[in-house]
Amino acid sequence: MIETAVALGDNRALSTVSARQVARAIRIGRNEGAAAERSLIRAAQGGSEEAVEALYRRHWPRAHRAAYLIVHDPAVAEDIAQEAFLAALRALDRFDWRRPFGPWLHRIAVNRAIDWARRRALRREVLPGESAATDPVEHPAAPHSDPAGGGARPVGEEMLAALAALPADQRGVVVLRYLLDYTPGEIASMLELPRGTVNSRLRRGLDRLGEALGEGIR
Amino acid sequence: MNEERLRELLRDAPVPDEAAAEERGLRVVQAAFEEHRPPRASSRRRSLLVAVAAAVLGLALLLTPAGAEVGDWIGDRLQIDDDQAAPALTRLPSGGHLLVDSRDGVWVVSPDGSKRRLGEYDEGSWSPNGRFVAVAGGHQLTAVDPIGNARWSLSRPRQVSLPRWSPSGYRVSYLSGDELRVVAGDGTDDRILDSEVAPVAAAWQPDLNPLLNEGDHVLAFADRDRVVRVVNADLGTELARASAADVTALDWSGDASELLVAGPRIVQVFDPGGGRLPKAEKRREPATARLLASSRSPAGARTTAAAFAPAGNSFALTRVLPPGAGGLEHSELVLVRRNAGELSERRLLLVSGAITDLAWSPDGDWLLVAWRDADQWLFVPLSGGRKLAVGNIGREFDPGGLGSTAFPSIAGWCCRP
Repeated sequence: MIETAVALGDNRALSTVSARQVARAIRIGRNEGAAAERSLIRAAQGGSEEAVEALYRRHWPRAHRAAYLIVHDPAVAEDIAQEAFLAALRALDRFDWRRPFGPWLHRIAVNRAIDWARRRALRREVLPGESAATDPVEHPAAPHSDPAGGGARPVGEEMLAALAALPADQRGVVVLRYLLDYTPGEIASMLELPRGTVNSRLRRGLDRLGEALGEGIR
Repeated sequence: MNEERLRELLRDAPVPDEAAAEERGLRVVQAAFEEHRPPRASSRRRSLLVAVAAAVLGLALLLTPAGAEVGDWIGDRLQIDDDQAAPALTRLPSGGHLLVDSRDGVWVVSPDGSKRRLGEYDEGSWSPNGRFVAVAGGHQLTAVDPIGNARWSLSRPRQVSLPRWSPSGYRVSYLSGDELRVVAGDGTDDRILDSEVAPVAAAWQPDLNPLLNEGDHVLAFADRDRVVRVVNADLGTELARASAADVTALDWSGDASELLVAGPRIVQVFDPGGGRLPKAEKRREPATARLLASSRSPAGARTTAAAFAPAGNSFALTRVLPPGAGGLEHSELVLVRRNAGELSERRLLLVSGAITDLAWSPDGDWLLVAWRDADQWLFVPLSGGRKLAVGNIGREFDPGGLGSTAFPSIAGWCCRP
């Protein structure tokens, strides 16, 4: 009925059915069903705040986390994730509800995060005696233990530091592949890159992560 | 380590302030959705309009000569040809005085088009009522009156640039090397505000904030990391900050509530606290400026200038568009309005080549842009009336020379009568 009401542009009909239907879509939505997501998108297109919140709750955590793992700045990651949602909202009435919402949102967020990280790397200050040309990474790779000899760092922190040491392009594909679980083909499409480039960035990224962590990634 | 372990680590890596960020984001999204939400009926009407527009565009494509682009087709109708441009600058629409930086020095242009050279300075900035100009040249910052008499001057060991006079008239900010400094309007009490900033002109908040202490001056600038910081310039305390994607220009809205942060690829509008900025001495941590809206340049395009209208929350920007199939670069002048979280654009001008500088007339009725590639200035009325083009601008500010190598920059259009 939601679909019918939306398709007819009938606000009155929508208002009489939306609460029950949206509640159902949200319940199903918690079960990750693609059909439920389509219902949420259509309900959101019909003006349902509840559906927007359900979509937000469903997709914010991974979009925000992906942005953070690429930019490594909490405030910037929050801004990027917010911007991605706002951009998605602005285009909601043009969105094809048959397509999944997540990849669309992730594409916006990850591209923005990579752009930001690239710019940040370009602005990196070069210290006296240091050559920017020979060291393209944004941050030095993290040591395996703290310099004060305080013992080994938790492996999660080591991984974050190692990830931060990757060039932004490699960080982006690693996050898309191993956090958001996209295939190399999907990543190639999202970043508008040849698939071979995605594969080589993934390989180089994993190699560098493995080196920094002191173990290979298979 | 295997790939599954990597997935687990990425999934479980700590993200600072994660839960609070989610709640903040939800409030922003809900507010934007509430203000943006369209009624369905109008959506259907809009779809019809879009369909009609698409049909018109399709017709345009059909009627366009083979190989030409739609952009060129539109451009031909908006472009002002050389032979339509006035050969000399003989008047300013809507009055006021222009300040112009040229290779030869800083100039003041009167409403009748006559020009006076203030001296061999690099760049200038009007005082709020146009009674003085702060000019930077080499290692000196100087205050001169509009006929060029120097009132005070100070020297710094490093190159002085980007002077900006506060709306109250009591402060002037400027850069010395990469230091941001502030001096009182009478040339006294010169002091450093930040030791490493980006080469972007600082922006004074209009002096309308009743909640700030009387006499406080609020300044926005971009620090070395391009974080935009809003500070009480008198106390040195930071009031708010915004993580901007990129910064080449900063400007406040006329009502002091919004801060425009423009970069080549993205334009963002922030609410740094506006009328709700608390008194500086009561604040311990700077607030995070709220992103109200943002707009990314089309692929390959870059924003070259942006400025708020003297009143209201509309702003104008100039944008260089990427070359089309014909290899021809275009530029556009766009008026941008913010409606909740959405920025809507209205194109005022599209020309071949690059347009760069941008200035609003004091009454907000006209925009002036520099069309460098055509050696012209274009005065564009917001009313949609006839545009005025003035040619030979290079020579106007290079009397006796050819004017071919030194196209001047528009530094300001002052002031309300």
